Parts: sequence; C-alpha cells; structure tokens
Amino acid sequence: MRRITLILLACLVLLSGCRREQITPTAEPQRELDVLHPEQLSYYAERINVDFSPIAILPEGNEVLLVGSRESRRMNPDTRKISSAPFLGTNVAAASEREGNVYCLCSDEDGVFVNQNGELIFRYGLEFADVRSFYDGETGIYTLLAAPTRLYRNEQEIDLPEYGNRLIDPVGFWKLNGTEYLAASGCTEGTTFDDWRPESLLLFPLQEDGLGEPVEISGFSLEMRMLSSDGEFGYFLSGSELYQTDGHGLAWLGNLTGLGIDTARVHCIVPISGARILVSHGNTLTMLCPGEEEKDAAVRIAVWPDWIPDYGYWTAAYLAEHPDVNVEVKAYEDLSDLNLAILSGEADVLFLGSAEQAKTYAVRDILAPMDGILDKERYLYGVLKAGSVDGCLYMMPLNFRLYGMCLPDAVVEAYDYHFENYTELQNCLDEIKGPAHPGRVKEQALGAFLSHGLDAWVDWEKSTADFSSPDFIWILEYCNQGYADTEEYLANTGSTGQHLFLYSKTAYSPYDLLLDYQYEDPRGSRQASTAYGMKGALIPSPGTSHEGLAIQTNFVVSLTANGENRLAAAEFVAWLLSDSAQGAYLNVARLDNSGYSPNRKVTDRLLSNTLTVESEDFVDSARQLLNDADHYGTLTVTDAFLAIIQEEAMGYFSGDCTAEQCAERIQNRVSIYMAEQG
Amino acid sequence: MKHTYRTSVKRNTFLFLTPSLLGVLVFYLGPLVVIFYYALVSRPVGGSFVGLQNFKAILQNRAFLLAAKNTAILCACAVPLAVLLSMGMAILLDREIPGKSPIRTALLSPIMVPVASVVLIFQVLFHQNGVINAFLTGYGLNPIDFFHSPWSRIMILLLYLWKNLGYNMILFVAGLSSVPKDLLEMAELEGASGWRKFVSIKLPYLGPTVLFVTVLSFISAMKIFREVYLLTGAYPYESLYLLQHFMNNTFQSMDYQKLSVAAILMALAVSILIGCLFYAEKRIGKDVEYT
Repeated sequence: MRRITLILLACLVLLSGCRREQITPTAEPQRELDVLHPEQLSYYAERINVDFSPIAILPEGNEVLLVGSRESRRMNPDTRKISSAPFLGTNVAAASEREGNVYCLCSDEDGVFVNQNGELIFRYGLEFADVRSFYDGETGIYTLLAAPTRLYRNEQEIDLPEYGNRLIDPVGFWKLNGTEYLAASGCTEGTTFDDWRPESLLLFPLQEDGLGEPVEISGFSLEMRMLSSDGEFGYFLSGSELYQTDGHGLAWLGNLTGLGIDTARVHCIVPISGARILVSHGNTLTMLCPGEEEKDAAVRIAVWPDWIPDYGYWTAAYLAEHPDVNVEVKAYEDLSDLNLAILSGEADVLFLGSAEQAKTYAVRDILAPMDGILDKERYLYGVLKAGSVDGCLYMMPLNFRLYGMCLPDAVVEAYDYHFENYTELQNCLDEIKGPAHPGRVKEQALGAFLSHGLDAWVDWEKSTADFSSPDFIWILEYCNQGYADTEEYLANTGSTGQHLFLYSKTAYSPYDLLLDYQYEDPRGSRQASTAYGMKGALIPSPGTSHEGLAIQTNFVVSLTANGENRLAAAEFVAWLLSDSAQGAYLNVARLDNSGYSPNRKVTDRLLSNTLTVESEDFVDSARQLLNDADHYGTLTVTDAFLAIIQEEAMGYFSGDCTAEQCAERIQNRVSIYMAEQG
Repeated sequence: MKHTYRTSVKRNTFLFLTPSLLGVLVFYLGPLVVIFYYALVSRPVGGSFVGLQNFKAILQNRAFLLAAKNTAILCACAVPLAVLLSMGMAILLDREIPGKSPIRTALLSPIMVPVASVVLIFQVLFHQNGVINAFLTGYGLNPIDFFHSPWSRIMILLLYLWKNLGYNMILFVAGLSSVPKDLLEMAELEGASGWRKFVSIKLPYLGPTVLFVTVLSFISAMKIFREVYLLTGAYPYESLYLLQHFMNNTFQSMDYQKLSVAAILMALAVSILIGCLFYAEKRIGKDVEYT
C-alpha cells in the first residue's frame, strides 16, 4: 500500500511538472488597474461609437485618453461617456504616457514635434514621414521609423540589431516588468525570392550603450501582419490571436475575430480595470468584457491558410450589423486539419486562399452550390464563370484585382489584343524595342508567368498537362535571361533594362486601368506612358480556356455541403456579396488600393466615381475588362503543382540541366499529379 | 463452486481483454468499416451507393496503376535481395572469420541512423553535383542524373538494403543457431559438401526465419516511402512514385473514395502474398523436427 501511495505521489509530481507554463504578468501597472487576465478567459464584445480613429489609448485614472491623428477625446469605460480632451497636435503618429505626462509625436513637413502636456516641443530636424513608434525612456529617446526601417536614439541613427541569420523587423518599444525593450519579429528566409517569414518575437533590451542581447519569445504562431501591442503590459495581437507576455513566458488569451474585431486594422490594445480590454481597430473602439453572451444563430468560418488578409474585416462588419449572430472563426495552417473540420461538419463557410483547392472541394461534392442564394444578374459575368464547376457556382471572391500583360498598344493591335498562343506573344516581345530582358530575378519572372494561370498547358477537364511544349520551354529560356539574384538585380536596375512593358501587370484600381503609370522605370520611379511616347494595353495571357484577364484575389468564399448552420451561412455569404457590404468595403479597399468588387453595381459606381475625368468610352472599356476577367490566376498559395514547376525550374536556372530536360522533368512529375485527379 | 469459479475466470478474462478489444474496435475495425463504406459510396459526405464503381475507376487510374507497378517492382527486387544477401552474410559470419564482431556491428549500425540523416547522406552522395558525380567527372566520365533516370530505383534499392541488411542478418544468425549440431556433424562424417549441408539441413531449419525475414523485409519495402518522400517530395519522378504517395496525396486532396479503394486493394494483395508465404513455409518445413 505504501509503495502504491509513493508511486501515485511520484505520478502527481511528474504531472504537475508537465503543466503548461503559466505566467504571472509581472509588468506592474503604473495605475490602480487590475490587469491580471486569466488564460483563455471568455469575452464578449461591446462596440463603442467614436467619431474618429483612436491610434492610441492612454489610461488616465478612471478614464482613458483616446488619441487620434488630429484630435483626442476622454472616455469613461464604465459609463461609456465621451468628453472633450486637449488638442495634442496634428498628424499625431504615436502617443505614450510616462509619470503623468502625455507625449505625442507629431510630424509635419519640416520635422517632428513632441507634445508634452500641451506644449509642443520641436525635437528633431528629421523628416519623419512614417513614425512607427517612439519611446521617451530612462535610457534615451528612441524613435522607430518604418519604410525604410530606421532606428534613432537621442537623434542619432543607430544600427538595427542583429540576431543570427534572422531578418529583424522592429515592431515598437515595449516596457515589460520594468525593462524597456525594442520588440521585433525575427524572420527567416523562405524558399522563394524575397520571402521572409516571421518566426519568433525578439525583445532587445534598451541599454545605456545601445541594444542588449535579445530575449526570444516563441511557442506561438507569429503572423505576417505587424504585431499590435499595448506597449506596456505585454498584450499583443499576432494575426487574430491575443497573447500576453511578461518578457519571458507567454499566455494565449483567445481569438478576437469572432468578437467583431477587424484584426488586420488594430491600432492598439489596452487593458483596463475589471479585466476588460479596449481595442481600437479601423474607425471602431471595442471593449472586451469577461463573460459570455447568448446569441441566436451561429456561423462557423474556416479560414485557410491562416494568414490570408481581411477576413477579420468581413466578420467584424457582419457582426456590427448582426450582433445577434454568433460568428466563430477558425484559421487553419494545415490543409489536413481543414479537411477534417469540413468532413466533421465543423465549418459552414470557407475562406480559401486557393481557388484550385475550392475547385477540388467542388469536384468532390464537399461544397454547396451558391446559385440559389445569389442573384447572378447582380455579379460580373467573368467572376461567375471563374467560380463555376459543371455549371454550378461554388466560389466567389469578395474583391479582386486584374492580372494581365501590359504591352504597347501599337504592337498588340496587330494581334487584335489577343494572343492565340505563346508563339504570338514571343513574336510580340521580339518586336518591342529595347533589350529583350525579363527585367526580374529568374524565379520571380517565372512566377509572374505562372500567375496568369496554367490553362495554356493544363487541360483540367481531361486531367492532362503538356509542359514539354515549345511554348513552355520558351518561357523557361526567356526567364533564364533574368537576373540570377536580388543583388544582381539591384546592381543593374540603375543602368540596364528598358523593360517598359511587362508580361505581368496587376491592376489594383481603376487608375491602373488608365495605364498612365504603367511602366516600372528601372531608375526607381514610375513614369507616365507619354514619357516613352507609347500607349499601353492590358491584355490577357494566351490560354486555351479563357478569353479575359486573370482574376487575382486573396481568397474565395464557399459554402460547405454539410455545415450544421447552412441557413445562417447562406445568409452570411449573401450579405458579404450584397450591395451594402460591398459598397462599404469599397471605401476601405479604395484606401488600400486593393481591388474591385464582384458586385456589378458597386463596380460601376467605383468606375464612375473615380474615372470622372475620363471619357465614357474609357469607362466602358474598363467595365468590359472587369466583366471579361474569367479565370483565376494562381493565387497566393503555392500548391503542390506550382511547387513542382518552381523546384524543377530552379535546377535549370542554376545550370543543372537544359530547358528541354527541365520541361521534361516537370511534365514527368506533373503528369502524376494530373493522373491522380483523373 | 466450480461453476462460480469458471464464471469468475470468464468475467475476469473479459474484463482484462476489454481495453484491448476496445482499442481494436476503435482503431482497427471501426476504420475498416469506414473504409469499406467510403469505397462503396460516391462521396464522403451524404454520398450514394455506387457498388464497385470506385474499384472500376481506380483500376483505370493511371496514377494508381503506376504506383502499384513501381511498388511491385521495388518489392520484387528488394525483398529477395534483402533475404538472400542477409542470409549469405549470416552464413559467412557463422564461420570463424577474423573481425567478425566489428563487421557485425558495422552492418547493424544503419538501424541506429535517423531517417533524416540517411536522406541527407544520400542527397550529398547522389545529387547532380554530389560526391559520386564529382568522382565520376574527375575521371572524365559523364555525370549520372541519379534522381531523374532509371538509376533512381537502384539508388532507392541501395538505400533499402543498406538500412535493412544488418537487422535481417542478426535474425538469420539466430536462426542458424537453432540448426542441430549433431545433424551437421553426421553430414560431415558422411562426406556431405557444404552446399549439400546448406540445402538439406540448414535451409529447412531456417524456414520459419526465412518467412519471418521475408515478411519483415516486405513491410520495410512498403515503408521505404518515407525515405523516398523525404528525398523527392509528394510528387517524385514516375519511377519512384509508390502506392503510399498515391494514398498520401489522395488523402490530402480529400479523395477518400480512391484512397479507400487503394487501401482495400493493397491490403488484399498483401494478405494474399503473406498467405502464399505461409503456405510455402509449411510445405518446405513439413519434414523438419524442432528440438
């Protein structure tokens, strides 16, 4: 008996040692606030209407000071009462509070002013166009500028810190547990050109003699999006997940997307009394309160991959209009996990970063057709065609960009603005004056070609591919004339390459369709077409099953066939594509320059509003281009298919084989992929 | 009293067996039923019964046929070679030869090397710009593209043998120790040749070991997918595309119909093969008396 008791005790000791590390945030608040938030606490969200966008929230006793770019307000979080606050300056870029003083960094054309309790003090003679963060601390006044990233201490520029072979992407200044840090994402190089992926959070202590050795905080998924933080209590948002760190440990506090927070546009997060958290995002202020709320219906959204942008905006916007609906969002990194979630009925709506994956699901009858819930007359013809499989609509983009080839109008006119095959494109490129040079790093050039879509070489219906065709071999050879690497590219951009016309052009906004700023000048600026005396034309790539330009989008929306909340999900999707939701998004998208709406009415309004100075003919042709875009170019996700092409092409670019051998190898491997689908 | 005791034994037996039975039910029989269900319906969610349509489709699928052919070729080459070579080495080490112990240790060492390291070594050796090609070009010979030519199968075969020979050899050494010494001495006295002794005495006694090693080698040959996958990814060149590639990829693309049918056909083929091996072993070893 004694032995058994001993064994049980030993087991208990072992089990207690296996518990996940719990942290007790030791960052002592400077105010009388209860900031200790238990892990995975349930929250419900309360939206607070403010008529401006608070970029910083500074607690002041029982109230908080909401600091905007040009104005500020005081708010009592308990009564939600908003009152006036002193003017803190124009173009406020960042704000912080220390020992009762409010510091605001305000930029104008000549320099930067620091507002110290209402008194504007000119601090630096630098042109701070993009202040990311500043910290007026005990070890100096640190300022961090974004684009290009520069770091200053007491007006002196200092080197960005180094850590192994990581690329350091500074986020801002955090004060944790009494220690001041420069917080940064440590990024590692990916497999493709200019592909840096954030791996871990690094905290470099600010010291009298510069930056000290960093503390690495890992064990969580660091998203591509910039971290948002309160800067003082260790709360930070990575993607849609809220965490807290004390500079050593880490606690996960939950996913904020389902709470109606546009996680891509969060300005700041601040803990306040009563274990509540204030989040400023977009033009909205949301207070997260502990507890749970009863809701009438539920829509469960599965997002894949987990880093696709803007899904937070859509759920936040939907929740703002439908507070009675419970929206659950789960982002999946791994496709197998998503597959299991779909099969087990855990997902009602899919936000998929790959149209090909949506097609695969549609073919397997895993998706529900959307024909019954959408009035097709209201949407662009090409978008409907691109999203249909066997005559049924299975996917829709919520916004999209146009992708095509920008070539001289005078030259492509002879081809009636349409290439039958790549031989015609080859002839066209030969006709263009200037060096026949891809003007890019080799693999980047190939990626640009592949982004048009693959239907010039792939017959999806018959599940066959022909990558050993002369057309594809020509593309390989053409791309092989490009620069070997980034260094060579940067070394030559100043002197070589008159690549005025490109085989890849993304039109983000109606202005892009004007083709005024069409040509990427290698000297660093963009020149109007008139500078070269030639007008450009945006035309589709050669392909067998498409006639229009390619649709580029970050994700497509689909409905699952076996979701448990199909009615609510259908209403959600119908709302996403409605005139009002698309119209509202247009305002945000126009700011971000990120595309057009699939909704015909909204797109018409966009064209007529932005192209007012243009002729009716031009607006008509722009409308025609949008309506005719009828296939998805390869999206942001590099799937197995593209990986094969890129992997083999690398062998050719590095001189391991000839273009013919490379094409043969691609064909060999791709044919298996195609046969599997058949 | 006796009845009560028997009942109690039965009840205890059942109680002790319950966890294992539950495990078998949940992790083996349950999935088996699901696989049969998927194989007979049109789609995983709310599918309709389609009879043997999925079987017919997969037997016409080029990827499946290619994978089955490659797996069969690999097994047909690798398994006999692994059995024969390891048996040969065991017989060699059964004799009094110098350096016997270090040789045995050296042959066993590949078992301890992690798969990732093995793959790395093979990449360094067989890459287009690898060690072997550097050696060949140094002597004025043309480099061989090991990964993209018929050499790729030989490369995988080498990897398989290198990894498995040592363990098989140990099993044969153990098997050889069970051969009665008096029989061998008798044959020696009567002037039997070494070959005769091997065929008539050692081989029949090694029957169960041969069967066991063959089954193990067969299983290892099926598991070589892991190394091939690490070397060449989910979509290798045609000559290295194995059944597990097919199943792995169809799982990823949620084509559970193809996956289930492929799994059933593979299980069927493996069962038949192992059944044949047992039958052969029974026939060969029927005259052997084990002490």
